Amino acid sequence: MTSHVTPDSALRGVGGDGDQNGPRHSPHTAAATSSPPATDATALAATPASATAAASNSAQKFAQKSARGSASGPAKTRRPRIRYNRTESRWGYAFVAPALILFAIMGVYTIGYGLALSFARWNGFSPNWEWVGFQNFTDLLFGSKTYAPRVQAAALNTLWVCIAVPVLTIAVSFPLAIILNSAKRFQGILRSVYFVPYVTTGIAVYLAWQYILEPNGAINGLLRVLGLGSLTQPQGFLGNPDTALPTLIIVLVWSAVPVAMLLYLTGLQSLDTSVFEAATLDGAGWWRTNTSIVWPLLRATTGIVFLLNLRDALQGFQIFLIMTNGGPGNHTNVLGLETYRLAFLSELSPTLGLASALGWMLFLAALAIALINQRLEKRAQ
Amino acid sequence: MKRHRSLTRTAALATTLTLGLALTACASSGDNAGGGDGKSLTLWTFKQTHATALEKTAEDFKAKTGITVKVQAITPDDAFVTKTQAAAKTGDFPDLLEVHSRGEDFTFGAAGLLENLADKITPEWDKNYLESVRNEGTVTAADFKSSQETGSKIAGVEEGQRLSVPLTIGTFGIVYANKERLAAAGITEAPKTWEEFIAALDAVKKTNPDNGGVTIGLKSPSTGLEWLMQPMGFGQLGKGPFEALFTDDKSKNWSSENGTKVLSEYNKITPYWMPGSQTLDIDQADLSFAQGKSSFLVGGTFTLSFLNQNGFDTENLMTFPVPPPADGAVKDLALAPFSLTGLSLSSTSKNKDAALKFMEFVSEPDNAKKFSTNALDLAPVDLGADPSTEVGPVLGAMMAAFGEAGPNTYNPGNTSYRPNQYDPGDVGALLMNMTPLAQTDPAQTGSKMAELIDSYWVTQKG
Amino acid sequence: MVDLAPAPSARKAPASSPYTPKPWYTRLFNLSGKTVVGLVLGLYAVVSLYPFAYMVSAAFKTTEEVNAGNNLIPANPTLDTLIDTWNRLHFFDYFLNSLWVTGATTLGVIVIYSCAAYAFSVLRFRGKTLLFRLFLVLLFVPGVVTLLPVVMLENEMGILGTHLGLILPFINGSAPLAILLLTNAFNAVPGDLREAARVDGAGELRIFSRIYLPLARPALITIALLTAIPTWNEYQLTRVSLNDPTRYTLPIALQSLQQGDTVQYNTLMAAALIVVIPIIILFFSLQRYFVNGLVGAVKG
Repeated sequence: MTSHVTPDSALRGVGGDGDQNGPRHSPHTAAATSSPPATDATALAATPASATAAASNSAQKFAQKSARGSASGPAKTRRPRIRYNRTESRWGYAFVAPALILFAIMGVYTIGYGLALSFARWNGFSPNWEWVGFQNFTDLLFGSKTYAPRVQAAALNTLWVCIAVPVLTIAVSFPLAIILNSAKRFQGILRSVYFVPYVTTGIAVYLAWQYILEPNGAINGLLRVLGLGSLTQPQGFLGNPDTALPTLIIVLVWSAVPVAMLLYLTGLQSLDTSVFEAATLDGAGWWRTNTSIVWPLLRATTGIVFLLNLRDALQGFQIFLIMTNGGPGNHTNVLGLETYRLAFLSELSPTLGLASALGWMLFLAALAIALINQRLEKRAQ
Repeated sequence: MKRHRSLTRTAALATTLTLGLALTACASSGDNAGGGDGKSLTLWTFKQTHATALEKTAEDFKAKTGITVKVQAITPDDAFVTKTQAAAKTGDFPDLLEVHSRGEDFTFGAAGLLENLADKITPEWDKNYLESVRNEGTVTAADFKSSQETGSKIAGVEEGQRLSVPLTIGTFGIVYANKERLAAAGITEAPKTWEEFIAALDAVKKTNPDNGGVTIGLKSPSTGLEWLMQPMGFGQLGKGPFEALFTDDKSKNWSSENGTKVLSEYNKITPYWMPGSQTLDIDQADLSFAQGKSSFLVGGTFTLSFLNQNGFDTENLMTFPVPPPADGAVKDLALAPFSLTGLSLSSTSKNKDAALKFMEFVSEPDNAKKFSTNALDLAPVDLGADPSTEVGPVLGAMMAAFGEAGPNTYNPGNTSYRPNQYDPGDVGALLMNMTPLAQTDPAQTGSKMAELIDSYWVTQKG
Repeated sequence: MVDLAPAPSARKAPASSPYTPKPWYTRLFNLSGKTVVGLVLGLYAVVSLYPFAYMVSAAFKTTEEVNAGNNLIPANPTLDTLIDTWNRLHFFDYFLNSLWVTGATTLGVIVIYSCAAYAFSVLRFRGKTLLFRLFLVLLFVPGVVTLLPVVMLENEMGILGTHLGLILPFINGSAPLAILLLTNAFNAVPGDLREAARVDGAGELRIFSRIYLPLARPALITIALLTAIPTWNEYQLTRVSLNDPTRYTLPIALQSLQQGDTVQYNTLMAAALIVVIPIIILFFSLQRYFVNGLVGAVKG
């Protein structure tokens, strides 16, 4: 068997131009480019080594069985010049062409427009924009006493959401996927059941949540029945400023688990069952098999789940808009909602540019977090 | 060679898939306005309850003129904003729009999207409107001045432009109470002072501990501020000092003694909220009252139609304006009706004559009364000496609370004393921290509100 | 290391030597382990379904009952709400619109981005990393600021208000996730297979369609679901761009139910249920394809 049990980290889905798929590229290609042996060795080493280095000993053992050559450090630092096979290059461009063309049509203009807007003052209706340079950004960060304090308060709430939602989602969905994957009976039906929250996303299901969380709602009722009356919320779980945000985080996790679980299940499906068999032969227990073998092997999936949840935590607003509108008293205002409010719920004030500026700052924040995360992951290896 | 051919084919196929699809549908477009044949109009409204009533008016209009008016309700507010923004950019504005008076009409008008109606309205047509609201929708000298300040929502309007005509009038600050429950608690007369109101809340809460509270849709925090606290505060301080609360003068604004006085008075309502009011939007709050989960509801004239639609027996209603404190500056507080919504005509409409005909048709007294009855909302026309016979007893009784403009009349529609970028939602959220959330005391709340309002003035004054 | 396993699952039975006599409590532990697994699975099933159960429950209540309280089991279950809502929703008028928009979007995403992912995962060409990162970064582009320009762009292109005007931005919007997921899936395909196929004289198209696509089936199904479901439920761009009622999709039809009088909670829930049922059927019918494509292909 070759290195298929070692998917790259999500962010490094492709490595350097063409050099990441050493084990995959054909002898034909290698011959055609007549790359020096050293180059090839580097390329070969990159994939298995990077994916497994962080894994615990036993995981490494499995992975390295398949790795050709050992992961030697120094070669990595020197980036060899790559020669491209002309035919393969053409195929490459042909395969990405549809995606690129569509992006050129739909994406370039809209993104450029949105970016330009962040330097303007505009209410969305008047024929002309008033250019204000970086003022939108500085106003949001510190310049304006109207917006800066709101943005800061919302940023703090967003920070909690950004930490809690990805972590909790992964903490719930990974074990759930593992258990579900090994369940013999009811697997299909349970998979569907667990997926229901994602299917029903939309206004209706959040209204249902509101009913459950209100003062006379089911959760308070349940707590009373269980004799935990002291935990009930007389104002409802969304009415108490101290419980509103944690409650929303739980609802967010509830909505995020289905996709994360599905992605983990997909990942588990692509693992070779020999991994499990070998682990079993090795005498590794259930717990160790999953924490030290399966978890590292699904690192790429975890990366995707993290990215998706990070995006939703930073930019999502729908659940907040429907369930609390940032309330009570702005205690659950988050930056995604603030962006939406500035854009479309600002009583027609010329704040569309501010919304855009905030949106792009979130874009940069997400990018920064993703990059830092990638660095940390690399260092951990 | 063979490989090259199939390569080219793939690229061609892929390109066709994306581009070809795009080209096939180029023929059709999302043209929204009627074809300009003068036979068909489109009208957008942001209010569900008005849509049905407008449709009925449209039927009558069609019977008389043969012109079809398609009424489309676009809710919620963010949808209305995005939809109109998109339509403005693509030249797809509907012929007619229902707008908030001195809201969308001025903003759209400032962007050149609306027709100036000043010379389109004949004197006979104009006479249909109540005199007190006849000028609503017209840009005044003061409006024009404010439009030239930084950050104005209406930069671009011109003095004297008439951008909308009134469609509904009304006012905020009306308390709806459950008559039976009040009677059971020994209250048969509408409270005349804030103290009596608090006493009534207390009495009903004693007899109905579970559902005796007062509610308002605090998920939109501006409601508590504008519908309840402001009318009370106006009565307590009187017009001049009340309006000074919104200035950046530290000796007179919310952080001053006057501010604390008003907020402390308002804070007395804290024990009487229906639990969870802070999580309800306006409709949900109204619904909770209609379902008997609360015994008091604060709203506006427009609230009545909702209660009626949701099965609340209007016979069981006691309505009264939010009362002033006994020692307040204004003893006989009255609420001024103002134009809540209006009709505007798009400047890109291809059917302007037909649209103007419809606008006039809606304002004709008979049609206006019919609209009023269908929408259970007040039309801006003179309903005569006894409005009850025209629009029913409850709506009629409510009109009794209306006062003529004067020092003792609170007009919620007058916002000229506030800074341009003033956002009642944000100010209201700070007020909510005091009541119902009980996180800040009146003095702290006042200084927070003053701080925010100051920041609007800083922007405005540059 | 102490084995903290709550439950060695059935498939991966504990591997300790069969000859060692097991302590008496092993059986008990195994049993309770299974019970724990069962409990966890069951509990999360309840958590998943609970709000949904409220939707279903409300759809079977009369307006009076839904207004009176929020008990889970309807006292007098009625089909009237569902039937009435069904009639007012004109389901079939909008179903085909929704089906076309969702189907075309999903197909487009699968075709366009599996091609791109194949290139990113397998082929070598100049600028690959840059392009891949470009698509990845698009994941974070703020949606709020692109709504208006999309509408303006489509107006210029003449496709505003058409279904194509929805499909194209939906496909483009799915690019980052689809590329990320599919590239990741293709990376897991053994490189040996491609080499073997090349030795046999297979071209890229053949390798892509005969080896990579079948092997990535679970990922393809996943991306189909992750595209189809949000597209089916989408209302923001749809609401802004569609003006012609004959082109409405189901979520917009659901919203226009409110036209006239205020919409009741039970009607809303019934409508939401009707709208969501096709998706649930889709999910159930895709279930059986959601198996390990790798194992089947390699061994078969």
